[in-house]
Amino acid sequence: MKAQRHELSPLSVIWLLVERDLRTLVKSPWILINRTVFFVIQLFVFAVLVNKLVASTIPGFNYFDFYSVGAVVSTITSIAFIIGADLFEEEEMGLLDYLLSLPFGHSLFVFGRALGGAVRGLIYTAPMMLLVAFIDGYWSPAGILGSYVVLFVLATGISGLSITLAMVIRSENRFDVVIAMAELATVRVSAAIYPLYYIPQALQPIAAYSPVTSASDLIRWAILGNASGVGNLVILVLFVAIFFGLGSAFLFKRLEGGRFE
Amino acid sequence: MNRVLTVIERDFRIFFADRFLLVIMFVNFTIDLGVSGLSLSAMIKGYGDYFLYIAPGANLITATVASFQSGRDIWRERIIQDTHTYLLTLPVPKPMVAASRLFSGMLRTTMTTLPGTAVIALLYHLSFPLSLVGVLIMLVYSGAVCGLSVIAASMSSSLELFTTVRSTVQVYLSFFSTQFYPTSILPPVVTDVSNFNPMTWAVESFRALQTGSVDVGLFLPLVGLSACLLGAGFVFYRRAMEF
Repeated sequence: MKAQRHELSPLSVIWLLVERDLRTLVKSPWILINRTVFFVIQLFVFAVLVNKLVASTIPGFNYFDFYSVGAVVSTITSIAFIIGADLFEEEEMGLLDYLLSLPFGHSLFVFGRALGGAVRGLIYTAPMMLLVAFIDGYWSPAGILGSYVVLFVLATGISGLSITLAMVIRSENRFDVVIAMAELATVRVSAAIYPLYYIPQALQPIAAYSPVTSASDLIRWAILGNASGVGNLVILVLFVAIFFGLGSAFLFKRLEGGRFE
Repeated sequence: MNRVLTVIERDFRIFFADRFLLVIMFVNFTIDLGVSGLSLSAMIKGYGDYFLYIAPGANLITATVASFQSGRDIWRERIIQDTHTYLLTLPVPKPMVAASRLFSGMLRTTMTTLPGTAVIALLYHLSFPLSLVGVLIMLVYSGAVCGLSVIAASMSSSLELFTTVRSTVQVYLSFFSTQFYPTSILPPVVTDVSNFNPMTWAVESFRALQTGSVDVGLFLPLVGLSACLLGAGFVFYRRAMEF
């Protein structure tokens, strides 16, 4: 009797991987609760109070509105970084070896996981984006959809970066601290939480080409009507392509073998 | 005394086994101070030098991260490495283990943040004795966070829960204190909450050093809060040692 072989299409594989990552996130309610509370506190405590301080220095500048968009962008960045922690845990538990033995290519695996990270980040931040649009008095469905696309693209790139870090670092303690630093650096050295103009001059060129800056500027253009350009879109797409292509290719060499400290 | 030193030495060896972590923590401090501090101070005028105002907060945040490593070590021994039970069979009384580990966490944090403390002392043009008071403030503050981290480690059965508690504590310490904003603009509720926040008293004590003297009225509440949290950490850790 001839054995039947069921081969999944690449799309089915990607869907399965994305679904699995979504289930993992749902099973981690503490992370969701924590990030939500953090977002609300950032917005209604930090931004409100700093807005009071800024108002006397820069008349006419509404820091609360500015920060509200940055808070969503920094939250999705933070959520997208979690995918690396998941992968690290799987590797530590020996589950990754099993996952890599499943009948699909490693490129598809990385692509599916990065997409999984991005989709769950988007699902999670979607209500926050709506809240911000409501607070900022913006109701155009096209603009909100556009903002979701920008957030999704950013989250895909950050997921790729996070997966790369998870594969490169072999010590749990080190991974934890490095991922925190990467998150801090990507958000702080960008125009997510302060305008580019006020960032120290030496860092402005770096911040200007940060994908987090590009995503923030594009969403502010859509929601607050701030100036933005096609350059931001190009930077964002390039970030995803570079991290996705180069990063993934690099990590394949490290995926198999090696051990944890 | 020797046994106490042995416990502390072990914790130091664990902590300093990976010096890369210390570098990363200093980089975090540099980003906090050199990027966020300078950017926010460029945006905020009329409240004195805002950069100097928030500078101690950056170092205290680094201290918070370093202090939570103590809890993380204890959590790993309990849940991941399963060495907790073995360690308790060693000839060191349990209360001594608990107290020594809390104290070693404070010392480790103070050492980790020494470069940051030196930077702030230079920015504030502090004399050597006042710089030492700055180190003392860091030591006392780290006691409060070590207590909190050990409570989290003693109660958490999963890494997810431990890291959630850690980030919640960090949010509480940063945003519900006077790290970023003066008391005069805080809503009454936040003012009340900030009075029970060790960050408030630590950051205010540090700022007060700029005047060239130590404000005991700010330092004593910090000592009181730290003592309470260390005591709570000790009790929870002791309870986690019983089976």
